[in-house]
Amino acid sequence: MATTTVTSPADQRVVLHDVSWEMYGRLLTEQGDSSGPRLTYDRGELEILGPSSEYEIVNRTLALLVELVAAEQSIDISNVGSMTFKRRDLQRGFEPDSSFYIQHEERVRDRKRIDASEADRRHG
Amino acid sequence: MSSATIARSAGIVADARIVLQHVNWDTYERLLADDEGRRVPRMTYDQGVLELVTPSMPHEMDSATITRFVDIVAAMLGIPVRSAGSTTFRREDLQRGFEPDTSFYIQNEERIRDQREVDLTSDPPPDLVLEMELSRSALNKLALFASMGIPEVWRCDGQRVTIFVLDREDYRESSSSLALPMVSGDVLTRFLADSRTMLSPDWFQAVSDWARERRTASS
Repeated sequence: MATTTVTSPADQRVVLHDVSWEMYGRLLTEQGDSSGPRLTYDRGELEILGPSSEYEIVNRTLALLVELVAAEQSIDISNVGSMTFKRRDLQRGFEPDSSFYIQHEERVRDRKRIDASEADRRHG
Repeated sequence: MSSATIARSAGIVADARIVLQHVNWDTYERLLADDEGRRVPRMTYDQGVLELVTPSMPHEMDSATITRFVDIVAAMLGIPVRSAGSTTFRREDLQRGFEPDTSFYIQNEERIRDQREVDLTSDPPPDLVLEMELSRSALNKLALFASMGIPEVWRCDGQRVTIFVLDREDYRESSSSLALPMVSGDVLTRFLADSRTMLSPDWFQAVSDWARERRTASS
């Protein structure tokens, strides 16, 4: 059996069960804007993902591709990265690897920061 | 949910490890309380940093083997042991808490014998803690154990078992155990290796025979 003393290059994924909506909000707040692990919440289940570097490279490459195509086609897009989207009414939330406003780019254009709670209100 | 299935599957070969920064004590305590039946992930909290580990199958198997070894040897030698498993040990005053792979009360067995819960502000910490370290932790576990006054730590990297005993505020490597003085790191390493090749009844017998010889030798 191989013994590893270096950090595994694979994605690290841990799931917690019976997590309340309030606890999910707390963890999001405490993590702040750090580009740390991504949190996905689905009605009590909380998945925490620590992406590997290879995962991030692929993610950034795809995001760059989207930006290049949009620029080439003169389409206004807004890259909002892995911001948190959550809806209390659905008891669900996620942080995508990358995300874009394209058709609705105009609605978010002048915002310095899209707040997850704003997104929450807008949809809720 | 497929992701939950992956994380919970017994077949995973590597530990999954996540570190969250800036977690306050209250959040940690609520997380501990939220899922009462939680066995995984194991949580370690060290002054704002929370590490979550879902152990792999080799990790759990080695941990079970070493637990069984302690149980057999202690029984053969007539030493009372209270196995505290992965109990959550925490001290708010130190802003630290951990859930060992396995833990035992041996020298202090009598003090906690009739207790259903342990409060580290008044009760002793476990006498022996096993720390499986198949992959490097983000936290300095030995410093955490030292701050909580754990007298002895057995650390296993999947091949070797190393015994550490607390000497004032730091651990030093020791050839033999404090709690079970006839046990050395070499003996643990050998029986761990044997457990991979021997059938479990044969392994059980070999450990029992070894312990019986020690008992005869010391009496």
